[in-house]
Amino acid sequence: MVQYAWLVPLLPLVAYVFLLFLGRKAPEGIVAGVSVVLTAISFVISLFVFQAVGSHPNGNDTYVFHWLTVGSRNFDVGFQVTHLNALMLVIVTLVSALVLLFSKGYMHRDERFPVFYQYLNLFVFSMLALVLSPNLLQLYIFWEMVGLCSYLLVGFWYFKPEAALAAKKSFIVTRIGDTGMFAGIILLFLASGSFDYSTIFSAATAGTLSFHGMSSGTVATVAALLIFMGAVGKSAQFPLHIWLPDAMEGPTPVSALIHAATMVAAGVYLVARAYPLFVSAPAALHTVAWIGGITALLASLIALTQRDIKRVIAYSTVSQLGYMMMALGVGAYAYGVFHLMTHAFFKALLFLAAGSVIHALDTQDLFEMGGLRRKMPLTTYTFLAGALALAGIVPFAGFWSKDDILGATLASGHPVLYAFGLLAAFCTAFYIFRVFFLAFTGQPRDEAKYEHAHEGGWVMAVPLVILAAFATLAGFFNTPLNHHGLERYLFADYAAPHSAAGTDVVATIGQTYPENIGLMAVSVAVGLFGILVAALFYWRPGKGAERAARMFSLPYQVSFHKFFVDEAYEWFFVGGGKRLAALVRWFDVYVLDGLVQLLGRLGSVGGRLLRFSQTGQIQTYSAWATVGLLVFVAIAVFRIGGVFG
Amino acid sequence: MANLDMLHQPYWSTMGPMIVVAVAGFVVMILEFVFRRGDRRWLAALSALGVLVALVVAFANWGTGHQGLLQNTVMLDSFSSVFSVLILISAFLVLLLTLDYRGRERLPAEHTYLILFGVVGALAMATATDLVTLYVGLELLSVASYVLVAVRKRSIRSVEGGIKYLLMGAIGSAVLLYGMSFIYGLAGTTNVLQLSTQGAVMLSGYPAITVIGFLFMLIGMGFKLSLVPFHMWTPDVYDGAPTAISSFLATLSKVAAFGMLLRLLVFIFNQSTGPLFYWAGIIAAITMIVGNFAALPQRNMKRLLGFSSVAQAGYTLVPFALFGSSQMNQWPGLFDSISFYLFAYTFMTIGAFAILHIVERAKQSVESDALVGLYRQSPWLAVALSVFVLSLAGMPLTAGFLGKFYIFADTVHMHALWLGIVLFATSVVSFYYYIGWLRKVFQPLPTGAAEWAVAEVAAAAGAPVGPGQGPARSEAGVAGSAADGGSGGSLAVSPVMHVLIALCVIGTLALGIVPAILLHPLGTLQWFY
Amino acid sequence: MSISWPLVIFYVIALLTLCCAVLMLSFRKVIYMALTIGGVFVGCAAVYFLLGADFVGVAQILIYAGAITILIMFAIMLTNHEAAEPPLSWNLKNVASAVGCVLLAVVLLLAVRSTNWPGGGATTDINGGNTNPIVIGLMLFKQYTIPFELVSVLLIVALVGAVILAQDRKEDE
Repeated sequence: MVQYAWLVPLLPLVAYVFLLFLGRKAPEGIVAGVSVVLTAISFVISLFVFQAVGSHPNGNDTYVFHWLTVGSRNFDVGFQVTHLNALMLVIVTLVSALVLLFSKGYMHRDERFPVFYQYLNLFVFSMLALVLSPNLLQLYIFWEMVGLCSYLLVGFWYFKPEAALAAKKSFIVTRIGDTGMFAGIILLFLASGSFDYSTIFSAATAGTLSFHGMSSGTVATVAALLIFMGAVGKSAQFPLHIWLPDAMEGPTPVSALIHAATMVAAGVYLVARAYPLFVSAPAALHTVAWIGGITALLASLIALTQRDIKRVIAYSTVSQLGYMMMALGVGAYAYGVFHLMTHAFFKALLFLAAGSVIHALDTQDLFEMGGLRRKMPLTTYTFLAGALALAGIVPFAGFWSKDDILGATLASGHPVLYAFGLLAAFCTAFYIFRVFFLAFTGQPRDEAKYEHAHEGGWVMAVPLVILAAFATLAGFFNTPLNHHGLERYLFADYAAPHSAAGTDVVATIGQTYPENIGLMAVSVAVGLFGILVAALFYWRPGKGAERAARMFSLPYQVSFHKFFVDEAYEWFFVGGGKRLAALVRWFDVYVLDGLVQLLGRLGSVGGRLLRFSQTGQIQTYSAWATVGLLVFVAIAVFRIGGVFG
Repeated sequence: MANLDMLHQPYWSTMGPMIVVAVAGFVVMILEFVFRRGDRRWLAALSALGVLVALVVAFANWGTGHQGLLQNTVMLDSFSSVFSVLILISAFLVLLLTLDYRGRERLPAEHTYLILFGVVGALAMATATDLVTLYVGLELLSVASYVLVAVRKRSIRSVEGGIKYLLMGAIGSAVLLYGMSFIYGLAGTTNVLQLSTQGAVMLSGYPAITVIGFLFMLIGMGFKLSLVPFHMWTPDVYDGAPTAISSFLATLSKVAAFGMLLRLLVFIFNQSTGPLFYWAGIIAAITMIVGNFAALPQRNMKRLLGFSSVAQAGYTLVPFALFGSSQMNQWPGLFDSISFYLFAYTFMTIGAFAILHIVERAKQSVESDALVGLYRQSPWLAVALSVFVLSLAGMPLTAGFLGKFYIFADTVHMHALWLGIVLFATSVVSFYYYIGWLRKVFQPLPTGAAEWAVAEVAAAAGAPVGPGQGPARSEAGVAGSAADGGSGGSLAVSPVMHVLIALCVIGTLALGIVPAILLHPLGTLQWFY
Repeated sequence: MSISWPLVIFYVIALLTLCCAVLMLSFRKVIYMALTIGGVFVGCAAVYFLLGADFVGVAQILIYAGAITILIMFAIMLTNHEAAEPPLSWNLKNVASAVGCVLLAVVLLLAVRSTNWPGGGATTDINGGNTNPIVIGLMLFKQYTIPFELVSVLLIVALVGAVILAQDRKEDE
């Protein structure tokens, strides 16, 4: 079965080509039908591959053919199936199929409906091909392709200036990371003579990387850090996280698929894929852990104060990706990947549910929502499942993975990071339930919009239900109850006798952390406390309604004090966080954004300066040419000719 | 009878393509004097046919070893084969573009045979191995180009461009000749093959004069190749010339000049590369930096492509500079890199110019704003333009990426990483202005022009626009100014242009995805003998 | 040290030629420019004679000093335009060009002077016993046939190009 894994990316490509031929006027039913069915078949194949790899004694299967030769070096293309790949295939195809189905409802009557599906299929193809790449060069190519698809899809509603701007921003910011990553790949190629993972890893673990006299450890560290730059850009880690919230200008299914479940996880996947390299460079691994921890905390603080429902979830994504990086960084390989999986399900669910709300209300402002529980029960309960998973409440999926990560962080001797993680967990529970209470409970704040709110039909309901099931149950793939099935599955990549990895790597990846009931209880308590605080502020007393009531009728004076307390609490509890959040946001907007802008400015200033020389007068041109000739000849004669001495 | 030996030399196999093109040129010239009325586009078709025949001849001679003619003043070898094929391919594509141009714009018909004579000069530059022949070939190409640039006489910019090109070209020729005269003075021969045995002696015996000769020849060709700081004519001339001629200058003329530069400098100085080719590296770096940064504020698309071609010349000069820091057994790889990049460059540049030509005709403007709404009107053109532009910028899966990648890999292997870094950094800069185009392409038309777009589609579909519809069209805001142009604001594209663009797209993508189709034949060639 | 007469003559001719060239640039009337450029051509011819290249010298006088200068004069007379230019102004551009040219000349001169040139004495016979024109003829029609033929194409292109550009045309843009 494993040898047929190439079918998995091929089917979305077929769908893409087919849609290209159908053209821009194709009927929506056919377009969506073809896409969903082919991706669903991909999903089924992925399941078989997943199962086949699991029962395979030596996990890694590589199928390559010769592509081109530069000098004496050969480059291969092909695909490689490992346990990690197989898991990614399942996640990507499942979420893709569901999102493709959901989009049928969400994008209904958009005049570029077929184009949207073309882009999505191209994305799914690129993402799957990225996952299956057997070497870094092929990975880089598809890495850029998913970036391109993201650019196209974020800017899909290009007539909105914010969308066009956001698309450009996402493209440029991620390219900053990609530049480093490309340099890292080239460095590894020079140091090991190959782009193949296996060759690079065995060289890294054996300490035989060599580049201009640098020691193997140094090369590995530099290369790992450079590659991590790519991951930082793609996975929106601090300090390159600024593009992801802006990317929410794209259609919501795009946010769910690309900016929550799959593409942004590619950075995490890359670090996991290149894990032996990182393990042989402990400094790089530390950097990963700290960047991840900082990102997790900062993003969750920012999420506290956002008004736009999608932005809250976007910052939440950034924060959760930070968790995954942190897990990988502290050596909890399996837990990072595990969280990647659970997060893909519950975050896609949250986005799709938010999409369902946006579709119904035509607004993204939380303070124009409210009371949707009565109009949209299905969306409410599925969102609740996702929110509970995100907040890490037993027994939802997020609980298992997040708790594993926190436990491993403490157990591996990183108490500060553990504190970061715990604080972020509190904020997470708070902000997601703030969204939940504001949107779904209480009284509607905008009656007109509330009036025509409705569920989006079965195409939107089915994905929500399926994802809600996964968000609830996916955690059980890796619990003490099944003896950490996923951990053992993933570890098979390295336990196989043919594994090229050294003993360090096997030891790091194979390390298990005992369950600690006390820590579990702490995590759950923190999550519940966050929910409680959110409920206090946002549940019954719809603040806007309250204020209006206070102004218009006396009886509500009684609630004045309550409101005052509310304000005080808000000032006391949230205000600090808010100010911190504001500070962080300020840093974001002015310092980081400013840096990006400055780079752009510098370029155009340079261009302007050069333009001055372009006067249009032939005399000026020849004057420049003469001076240039003089300078070159004079220096050359001086240096080589020895005329002047 | 020693003198009769000259009659029995392998003229056909060494100079076959040149002879075919020259004959075609004369035939077209005479036919044009005979048929002075009516649609004379068939003459351009005839010219294209002649070029195709020459291409067949050139292919027939591909890889058949090496053969000299008339005391080795002209050589058939791998080098001349590759460059002849490339020159003829670009000539064919440019002629296809001309075919459309003349049919609609009623430009002077003298274009085609001037192009053919220019191609003869270019072929001479690729095949000759004698300084005199090389120089005459260069002048033949240049004189033809001067006339072609200035051919739209009523356009002040066209004439101005022609004069600028003439003056800068003349300075370049003078510098080149001066450099050649130094080398001739030292060695006493003009034959490149004989000079190649003396390069090392010259450098060790007369370092100052040799380096002056080298630099003057490099810089003299630098005027043609628009290397910085000898590039300033480029945007003005590309802007002034008819688009087909701009593409002729950007591709064919540059390819030939590159061939000649390689033949001159690499063949002559093959034993003393180190201290000399270093200078080419510096010029390459300056060219890449200035070309890309100067393009940033450009709004005029033809000028932007001019600066872009400056930058591309810089990229191509990088492997040339590497001759200085590499071993002789690595040189075939460098020739492969240069040839591959030039092939890639030809396809993507002519394609971009072709689409520019269509847009320019439809909108009567070469400002980049004219691209707005292109995707709405013709997705095919928009996608094709995206392919070309992304390839120029160096996006993976396109020919431009692989070309740059090979060059980059060369810099790494040959210990000139700083050049590779400049190449990489400047091509990142280039993404900025190329993506700017793409953004405009995929933007919709402003609302006022919506009707115009519809009217256009109707016109393109062949529906006659009667007099009754005329006023309605000119009322539609933007349409008014565009429709005044006489040739109409329609985006109708002739089948020839479709073929041309399709060929360029196929070339760009094929080289980008399966580079082996070109690299394999290149790899089997014997570059040295 | 004895005076080498050819050297003295060379310096005189070179000085005159350079003077003519500088004058040509500084004159503001086109007709004077044409006359001084004729002087430059004749000076070059004199250098050729001095080097023993009599055929090239004669050709130089016939073609450049004779035909081309006269053609320029005809062109000036027939086009009948305002035959004076604005006076030269010493702006940055002109100063830079002038300084650049002079420095370039200095660099080249230093390089040329410091080189120990190859070559035999004045008696070396490189013509193999033939006179100059015979050798040139043999070269042109044996070794250099191809450039010779290409030059003929070049002349046709120039001719046709001149006609195209000079022709009056109505239906342009």
